[in-house]
Amino acid sequence: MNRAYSKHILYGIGLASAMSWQSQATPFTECPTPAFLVQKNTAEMFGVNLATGYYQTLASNMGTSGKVNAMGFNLHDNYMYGWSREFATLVRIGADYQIEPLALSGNDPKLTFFVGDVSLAENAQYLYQRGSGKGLYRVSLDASATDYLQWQKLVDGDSLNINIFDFAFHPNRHELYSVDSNGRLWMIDPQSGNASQLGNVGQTGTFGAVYFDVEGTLYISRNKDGLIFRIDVDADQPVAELFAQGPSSSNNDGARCAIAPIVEPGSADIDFGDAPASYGTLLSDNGARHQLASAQLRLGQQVDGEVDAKAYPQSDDAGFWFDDEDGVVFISPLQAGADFLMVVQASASGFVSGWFDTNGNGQFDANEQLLADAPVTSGDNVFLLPVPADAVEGETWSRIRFSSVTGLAATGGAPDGEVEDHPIYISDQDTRVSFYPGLQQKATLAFEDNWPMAGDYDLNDLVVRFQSRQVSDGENNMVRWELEGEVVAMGASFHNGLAFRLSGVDPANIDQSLIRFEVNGELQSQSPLEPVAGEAVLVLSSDLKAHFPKQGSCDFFRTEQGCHGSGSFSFSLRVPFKDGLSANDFPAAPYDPFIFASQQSRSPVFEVSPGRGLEIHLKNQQPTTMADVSLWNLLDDFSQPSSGLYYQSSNGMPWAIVIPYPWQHPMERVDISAAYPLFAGFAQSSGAINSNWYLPVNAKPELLY
Amino acid sequence: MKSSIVIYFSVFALLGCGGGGGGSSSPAASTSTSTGATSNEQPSSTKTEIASSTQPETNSETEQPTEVASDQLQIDANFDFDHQQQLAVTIETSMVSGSRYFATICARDLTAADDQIAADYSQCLWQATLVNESTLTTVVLPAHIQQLVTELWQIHQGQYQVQRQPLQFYDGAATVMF
Repeated sequence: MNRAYSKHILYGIGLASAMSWQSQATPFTECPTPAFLVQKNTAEMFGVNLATGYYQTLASNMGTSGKVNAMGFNLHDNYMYGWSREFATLVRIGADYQIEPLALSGNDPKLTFFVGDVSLAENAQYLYQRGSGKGLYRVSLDASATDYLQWQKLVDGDSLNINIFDFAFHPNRHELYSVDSNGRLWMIDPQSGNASQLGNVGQTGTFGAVYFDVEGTLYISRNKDGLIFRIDVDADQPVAELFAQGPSSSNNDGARCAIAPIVEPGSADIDFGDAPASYGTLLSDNGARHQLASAQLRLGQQVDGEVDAKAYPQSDDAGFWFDDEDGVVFISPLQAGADFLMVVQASASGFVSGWFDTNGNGQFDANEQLLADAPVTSGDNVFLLPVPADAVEGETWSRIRFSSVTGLAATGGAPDGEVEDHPIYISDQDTRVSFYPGLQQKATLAFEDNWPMAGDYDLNDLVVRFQSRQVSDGENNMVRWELEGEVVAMGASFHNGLAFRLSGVDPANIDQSLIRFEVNGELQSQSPLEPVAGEAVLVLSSDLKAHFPKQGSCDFFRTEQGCHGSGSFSFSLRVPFKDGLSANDFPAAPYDPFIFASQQSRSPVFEVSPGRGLEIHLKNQQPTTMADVSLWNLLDDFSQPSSGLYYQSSNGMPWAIVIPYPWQHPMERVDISAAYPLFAGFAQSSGAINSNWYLPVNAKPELLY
Repeated sequence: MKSSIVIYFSVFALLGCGGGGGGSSSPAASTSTSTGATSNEQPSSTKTEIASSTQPETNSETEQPTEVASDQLQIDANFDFDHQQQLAVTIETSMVSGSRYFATICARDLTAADDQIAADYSQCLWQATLVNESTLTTVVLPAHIQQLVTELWQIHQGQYQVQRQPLQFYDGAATVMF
């Protein structure tokens, strides 16, 4: 809305009382999270997300042909205020970003101000200019006060003489802060006019816009390059930490509602990484983060936005059936002292940087940046990168950042693009890796747990997503076996344990002390290897139900419509082997996963639970030696152990299946044959037809959870 | 016996095509005979017997497949519900000293042009540093992956070169030569 004010309206009014003044624009309805930035000689208003530096134009015309400076956000009336060069007076700015010149009374110092802010403790604008005869001024913005819009000089620019280009009120203290062109942090007491120097923050330049957030963190934006730094003003030695890259301009001024958090709660437009917090992942640690603006640069197909990072082990990828860390693929093994191949799948042109924690210290050190601002184009971009010879063998983390801007560090905000953190394994020898079901893929294990009683064939009594990897050396001897996954549904009342057996593997081949087993991201002190001679059985849980307490009216976890349920069980298992176990003697994926009963009730199937003796395996999979053989052929079980037939009903239906896909399970009590109409043909043809029956395109989506 | 087998399969082909999910059995159903040839392969005589015993039921099916409840299905006792098969893969390549070699076996990227051999890296089954000119390995192939691509990467003095070939598999085995 363009509005031309003629000057005589201003000066003809004198003291404007609240009664006679007609507000032309509405105030902001709430305390906004973004920082407001006015730039250019003809003032334009931008909104800046300080967390990422992303900015967008809010108004290309503010109703003035000149600059607007010395801005502040007034919590008392939800307007912004600033100084208009064209109208040579204080202006009020409403939600339409148009200026309204205000008529001030008293001794007009006739200065052009560019340093200013509105106080939180009181309803007043503070303005400053250095130099003798100038100084610190106050103008009341309280329409009910007798000194409303009256000039008040607080201290002369002789005594308060600092080279600053903006200042900001602390959210909790009636104190003004700024950083001068030499990098000195100043605190100004507005009542006495005294300025205290709190130290040198280590950055120089013209900081034309300074802001606070609700935590009392100060943000300063440098004009020449738009870099945004954050400062803990209460630190013993405050330091300016590079926080984000914002817009640069020769003329800047900023205002912000200081009691707003730096990231809007409930927003999901920033992409964070998910490496452990030590790597600089969380917002409080200035973690790597990218604004997810629309039609933006992406890595791979998927991305998710969040308010703050969910650092490992709280990664949000564990609970979802898709994983947004899909834009970076390591297509060769990583080995100390050798090069490896990494493919970055970019949606558009931009720059990629990468850090690899090769010394395993939990941080991305400067010398661990193997890729710096490498240009990429849309599609697959292949990089050959070196692993240092002294790299530590084992699992560690990497971070890949993609953006249109260069110069990103391993932490800090970026105005666009994406970050992906990937766990990697650095070997000390030549290796081969086999993936099941695929490098970025997950398989699904699904059970009916009523065995030996037939269930409703919804095959969702327990549903587990997993991926496994077999690592062998140059002579094809097994080095390690890796398994990770999570429970994605539990539509069962029974308490079941979950295990994987490596058939034919002698546990003596396992380097037991080096087994690494995590549940929900926590390292388990007890070995998962079941102490049974001759059998390599790895027990992931002896009772999964313990992790899924019944909540409210939901009986189950993610099988009933509208019922998510509560709880989680994710697991990560690394099983290293001693020398001499050939990969040829190692069982093939998907191995022998099974569930077993706990001691809790198995009624009505059994009065007394058979406990560990009750196992449920894939069809025709021989159980372990712990299985109770007296359970064969009870109720609906048609096992014929002498013929190698196990765990099937009279018509050949199984109690458990494994699907090499992130299979979507049927809703509670929906027959798998109904949810997946091609299943019947597949089953009855012994797999001759409909081998893709489990793909989503072949499902009835209304019958799936 | 032969004619009964023919009927058995053709009826199920009908069932497969008409499914409520809208998805027809994929063209690769013809190759899925290899999918069926899993480790639980049974002598054909067993299959024949079971086929003839279920014939009356299936012959009464119309072309419109009706929903069959799981407990009404007639499934071969020996059918393991395997959704993957093992492939014994042989990779032959000549090696130049001073070079390092990587190989990958991945699903073929079907979004690429027909004449382009491209790998879908998100569906790699295997990756390795090659140490010998002849490498034998076993990969597990999910049923829904119809085509595979093998890549050979040669790294020499900080430069890389890649060759790609489709990996044709038959009867649980595949060989590729670079």
